[in-house]
Amino acid sequence: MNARLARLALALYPLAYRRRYGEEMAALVEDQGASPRAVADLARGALSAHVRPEPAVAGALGRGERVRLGVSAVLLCWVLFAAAIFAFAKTTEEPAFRAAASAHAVLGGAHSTLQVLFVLASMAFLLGAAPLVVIALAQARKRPGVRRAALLAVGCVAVIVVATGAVVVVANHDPAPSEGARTALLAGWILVGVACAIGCALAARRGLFAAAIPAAALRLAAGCAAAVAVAMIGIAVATLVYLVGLVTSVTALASTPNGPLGNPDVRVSLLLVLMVMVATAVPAALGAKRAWRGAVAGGERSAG
Amino acid sequence: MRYISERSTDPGLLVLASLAEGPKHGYAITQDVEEVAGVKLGPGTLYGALSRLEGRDLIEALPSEDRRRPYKITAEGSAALAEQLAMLDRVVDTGMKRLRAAGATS
Repeated sequence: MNARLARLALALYPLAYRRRYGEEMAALVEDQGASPRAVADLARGALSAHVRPEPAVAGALGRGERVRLGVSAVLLCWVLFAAAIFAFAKTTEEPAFRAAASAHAVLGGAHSTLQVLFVLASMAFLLGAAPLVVIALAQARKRPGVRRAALLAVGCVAVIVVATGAVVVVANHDPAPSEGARTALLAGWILVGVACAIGCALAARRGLFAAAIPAAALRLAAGCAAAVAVAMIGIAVATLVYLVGLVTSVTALASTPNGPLGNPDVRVSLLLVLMVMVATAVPAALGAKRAWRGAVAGGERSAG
Repeated sequence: MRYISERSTDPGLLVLASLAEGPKHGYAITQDVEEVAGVKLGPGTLYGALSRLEGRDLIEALPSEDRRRPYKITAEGSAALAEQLAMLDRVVDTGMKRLRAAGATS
């Protein structure tokens, strides 16, 4: 069990570290024994390697690899960030919130800004991802790595389609399911949705590394990733403004019970949403910076 | 046996002191440090220190033996180790004198 956890902790290290030290570290774990302390030490070391990467190690990656890593980091963060936006939309969907947004300019402005930035980020996402998807699909037949990544992504999409269909059927069943059953259904659907989205993001990462991608497409993806990251930061700021505006101007609405179980209240729900946004926007910004630097440094001279 | 992290004793110093004896691979370094200093370097801590030392050209990797790659201290590493140990020596010397002085007056 500990050996498996140690391998998992080793897998958490950045690619450049795994490539340079992975074999040696695995050998050391075998020699020392995979104790719980060794696993914890590896996990802490992996976090440190991500937060404070050693330039000599991280710099050993090729430009194309840096772009791929950065773009895939933004992709994964965007998936989780989008889940937070969905939670924000669900939290503020009642007519009372629309009325508050109409009555208070700060709330209305923050909400509109959030919506506009979400649309722009989604467009940038599609613009950057579409050429990569087309390239990957064109190579899926010849490259087994790309084919496996594509199958994983298709599998994830199929799971969420089936889950959504099942939810729709159960929700419209006669007699109607109880309130508790509906809540459990919604919570389950959200969990499956997030898991499938993460699966798609990981499949995209595998595909990015397995496919031969022209430098121009990588540069476009890096630019779009930067746009998405900027929009994510903007959306997080807009959410903070909205939360502060709600708490200070519409106190009663801010303290109404919220969520599937009516607990916690709107303030706490939005604070949790904001925390997820910040926790994903920061690594997305770092990933976009890495991708952008890799792209402007010259990109790949040839495909692959 | 104490299990140290980067927040306590500087693992880089311990690794340099270990490699001053001659080239060693990861496990041999941890064994030596445990024997000499009484602390156990975890794999994450050890390789964090090795990557930093290597990045600063204080150590260099030798050709891999099986999956275990030995490291050796460089000339810059030896100089850095001597400088740090001299500083620590002054700290130890001053600290001991002050403790003795405090013991005499109390």
